[in-house]
Amino acid sequence: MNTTLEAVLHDALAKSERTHAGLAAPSVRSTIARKRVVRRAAVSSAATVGAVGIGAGAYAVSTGFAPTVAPADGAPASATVSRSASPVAASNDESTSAHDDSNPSPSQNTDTDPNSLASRRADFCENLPLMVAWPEAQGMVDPAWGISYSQPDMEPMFGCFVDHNSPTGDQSRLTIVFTFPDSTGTDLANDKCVDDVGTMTFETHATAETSSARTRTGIACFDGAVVTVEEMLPSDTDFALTDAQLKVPAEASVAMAEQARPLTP
Amino acid sequence: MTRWDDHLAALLDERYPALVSYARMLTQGDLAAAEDLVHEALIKVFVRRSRFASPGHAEGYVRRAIVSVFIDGTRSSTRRRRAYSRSVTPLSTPGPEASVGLATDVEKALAELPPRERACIVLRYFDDLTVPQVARHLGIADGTAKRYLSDASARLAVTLGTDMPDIDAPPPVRVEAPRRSK
Repeated sequence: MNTTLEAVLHDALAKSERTHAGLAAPSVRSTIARKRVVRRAAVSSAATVGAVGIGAGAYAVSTGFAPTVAPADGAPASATVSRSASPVAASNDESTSAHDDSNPSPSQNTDTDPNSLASRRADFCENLPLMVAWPEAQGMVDPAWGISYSQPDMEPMFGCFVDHNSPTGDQSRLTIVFTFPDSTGTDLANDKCVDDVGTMTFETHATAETSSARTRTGIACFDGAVVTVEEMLPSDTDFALTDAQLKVPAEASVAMAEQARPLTP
Repeated sequence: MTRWDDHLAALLDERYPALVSYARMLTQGDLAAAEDLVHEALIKVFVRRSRFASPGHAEGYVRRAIVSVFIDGTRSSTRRRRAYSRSVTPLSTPGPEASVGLATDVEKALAELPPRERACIVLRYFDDLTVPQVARHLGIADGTAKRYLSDASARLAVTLGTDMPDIDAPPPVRVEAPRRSK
């Protein structure tokens, strides 16, 4: 024998690469962009209570339902985080300098009008069935935060944060996001909502992260609506929620999906 | 400064087949499962990081994430169901990959290894990590990684008819082929 194992393995890999040379790459950009926005907003929400918005990579996230923000590359997009209890004036938000007038957003409405989109979003978040379906959370949930996001090549989404008094711990975040894919069968970040017409599917993912935070996500799909409930917490902290504790609010929130749909950008 | 999505686009354009081939070494040669692994790894890496020195730098992160996702068992129940259904189909069933020849033989040999041993082999021989680096990446003791590598290498050497490797030898200095320009 004079062939090394290493040579055989590398030869196999090279042959496999040649075999797959024409393999089409997946379209993951929009999924990544959406998850980046949610992640940045969730991580920053505690540090920015009543404060200014933050930059979110190529996109910008702002507090107080500020005017639409354009990404650095000029593609129209809107990413907004709000807290109904303490709306922040858009003028305080450094990200508003990137305001894209060519793509006015409903989020330009102010909080003073109870019928405004901002107020309706806030009301929606504060009345999510989380507190109803999850008795442990009653009395522990800080006024909700909301996030909305839209970009031409992405599914519109709208979501709420349950703030730092969530049952998972004082440094954790719970995020409930509603997404409305254009067509059924959309694979949202491997969410696998492939049977989302008329049937409820649910699953959880728990990942062991090496970065500063780790997440565990429950996904419920029903009739074209995708609801994700995400538990995010520091990497040195154990997950606190059971499958049932992720599943109950996700499934209960699906029932409110039709109310969330008009609140999306 | 190059943005994350520029690096993503370059990586997908230039290296997607290589990433899938890499993942196939972990997935018993299953192309769909390999693509799922790559998909999840891309999301995991690019959601959390914005800055990469180059597409090659990003690829390093994605390759590590492929192994992590594989080991973490974060694959969805859907994929588990698919894997189960595939598990009742013999790997030797002739298919579009049958012409791969040696690659298929290697994938079959790797498929006979337990997942952690397979991951050790992939990190050691495809990523040229040292034994301590393999151990650190998988969150296991150096001795455990060494035992996994030793056992797995011995089995592979017998199956594939190669020399018995010295797993303590330093990784070779590899000269990368120039990347295809866009």
